Amino acid sequence: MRDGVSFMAIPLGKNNAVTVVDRTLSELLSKKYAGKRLETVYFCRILKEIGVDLIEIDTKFLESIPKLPCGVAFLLRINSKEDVMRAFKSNVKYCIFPEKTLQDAETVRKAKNFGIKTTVEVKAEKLSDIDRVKNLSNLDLVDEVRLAGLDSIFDPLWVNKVKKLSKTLNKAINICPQDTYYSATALALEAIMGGINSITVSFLGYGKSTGFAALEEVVTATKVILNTEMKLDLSKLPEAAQYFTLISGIKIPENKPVVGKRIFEYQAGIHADGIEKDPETYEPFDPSMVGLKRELTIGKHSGKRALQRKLEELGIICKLEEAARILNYVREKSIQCKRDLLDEEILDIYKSLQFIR
Amino acid sequence: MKVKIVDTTLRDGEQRPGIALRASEKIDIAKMLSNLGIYQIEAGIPAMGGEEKKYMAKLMELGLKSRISAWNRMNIKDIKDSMDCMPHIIHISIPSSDIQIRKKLQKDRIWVEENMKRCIALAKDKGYEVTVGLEDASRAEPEFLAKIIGIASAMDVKRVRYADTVGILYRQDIYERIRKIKRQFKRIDLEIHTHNDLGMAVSNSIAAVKAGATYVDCTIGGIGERAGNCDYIKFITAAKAFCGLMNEIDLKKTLKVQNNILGMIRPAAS
Repeated sequence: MRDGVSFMAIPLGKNNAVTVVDRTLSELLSKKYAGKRLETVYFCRILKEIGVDLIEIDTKFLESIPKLPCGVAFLLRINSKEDVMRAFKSNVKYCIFPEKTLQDAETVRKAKNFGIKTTVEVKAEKLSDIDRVKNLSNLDLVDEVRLAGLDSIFDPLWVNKVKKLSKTLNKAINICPQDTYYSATALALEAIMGGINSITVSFLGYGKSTGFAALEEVVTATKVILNTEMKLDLSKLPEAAQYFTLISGIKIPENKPVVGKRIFEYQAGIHADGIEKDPETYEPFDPSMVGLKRELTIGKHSGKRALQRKLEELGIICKLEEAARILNYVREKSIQCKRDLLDEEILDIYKSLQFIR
Repeated sequence: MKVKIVDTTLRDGEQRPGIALRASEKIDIAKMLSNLGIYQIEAGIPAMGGEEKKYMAKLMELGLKSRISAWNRMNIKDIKDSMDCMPHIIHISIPSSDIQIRKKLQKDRIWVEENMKRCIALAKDKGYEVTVGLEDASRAEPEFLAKIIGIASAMDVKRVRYADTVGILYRQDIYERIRKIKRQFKRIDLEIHTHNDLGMAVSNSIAAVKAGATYVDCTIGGIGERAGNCDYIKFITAAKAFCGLMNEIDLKKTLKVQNNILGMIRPAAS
């Protein structure tokens, strides 16, 4: 909990919570959301419901959406003294500076004088870079340090190193893993498990360069792996995905973890069989938890039992042997079309075979 | 230490709903994978019958550089179907968690032990190289896993696949698990099979390699059941950075091949 604003955060047992910062909007080009104010405001609100405490924006955002939505806390990226004035005028309570702006003590002091909480972003790619942070000048002026990168760190001891640094500096530390080597989500999860209480992520891991830890993966992994009771509403994730696409124009791959539309489709004989008996056999978590549904599809890899069940769904009762016979035609058609079959196509095949008989 | 790639695009990848390849396309993809220098291609499931079985037999005639393996459920019929195609390797997937054994198969652990022995013996007696898969190992009881590995090892199986079938592990966890197995079974080679449900398939595979796994299952573009498998190019990129491995692989050339393969897999319409 930070003073003033009540954060929902990811609660982890008693008196322990993780503050989540989302930097998706500051990574998107401002021209994208400029014409989509309403959608952008909705996106912010949904992010908050999913568990984001602070939404990171840049000054371009303030130009397109001068009146910030209330009930949501924002973190503004600052590059100059003028930016500090903008933060003050828009009533922003949190600011983040790049490392080089820290050299300009006056800008940082100005923010402090306005009662704005300040964070400095420091790039730390390797484990040894974490030690370097202590030597930064003017560090005493900021409230928090964000360690960005951690790209190629594997040694789990990194978490202790960060916590030690936090103690030495007597400052809060936020970590923002970069996805250069596809380990950002793993790093964010390690941070949470190790007791680091502030992380920065982005929706889908979206970022200008190599991207970050994906918000939806981190919150879902926290719930599934740590099995924590969370007040967060992950079933809002598909809605967040929709607004993200509306704002950015970026389509979300169908198999994207957690938010891909088709991740809970199943077809292969062995899987369909298992899921029919108990979905737990082949699902990491219940689809409804993240606002999705499981769906049986029929295609090249279907087995006879699945086809029999599908036909039943379509109002046709047939024996297993009959389903097995129809299955050959179904598979052939699926290979021909290079996709799964629609209900009508399955019915057509059934009818044509009836006719032959 | 050297790490070998097992590409399962043509098995776990193709198994993903929405993907349906014809035999000729699977052959073309296998050729491209072999040209990439992939050690092993898990080419399919002969037990599916029809097209798939014919394609597997034809694939063997080509004499590709990659070793070709056939995937099998733990039953005699599946393995006979595979042997009809004469692959280099017969892979037998053994349900190892109680969720799989009790809920899916409605059997018990003793049944699993008995059956795996019969299946391994059948393929081994015919002179096949056999690898054993621990399906749903991440949700299995470690003691039972050790028992399965012990049985396989005693039957002279040289390699065991650890499958995080539902993609719920994280890297420290997988590191500890693989280390433990490696310590107990020094002579067994370990293969890691991850899924991307929580976005950690690549980092989990890296962790397994750091812990001593020497075979890594990948698919082109990461395609596979649900959120997919460990993405080949992403794994190579990460293995270079984290382990200093795979430096001989030219990523640009690989990316081109990936695009060609994905172009064949994705239906033109959608």
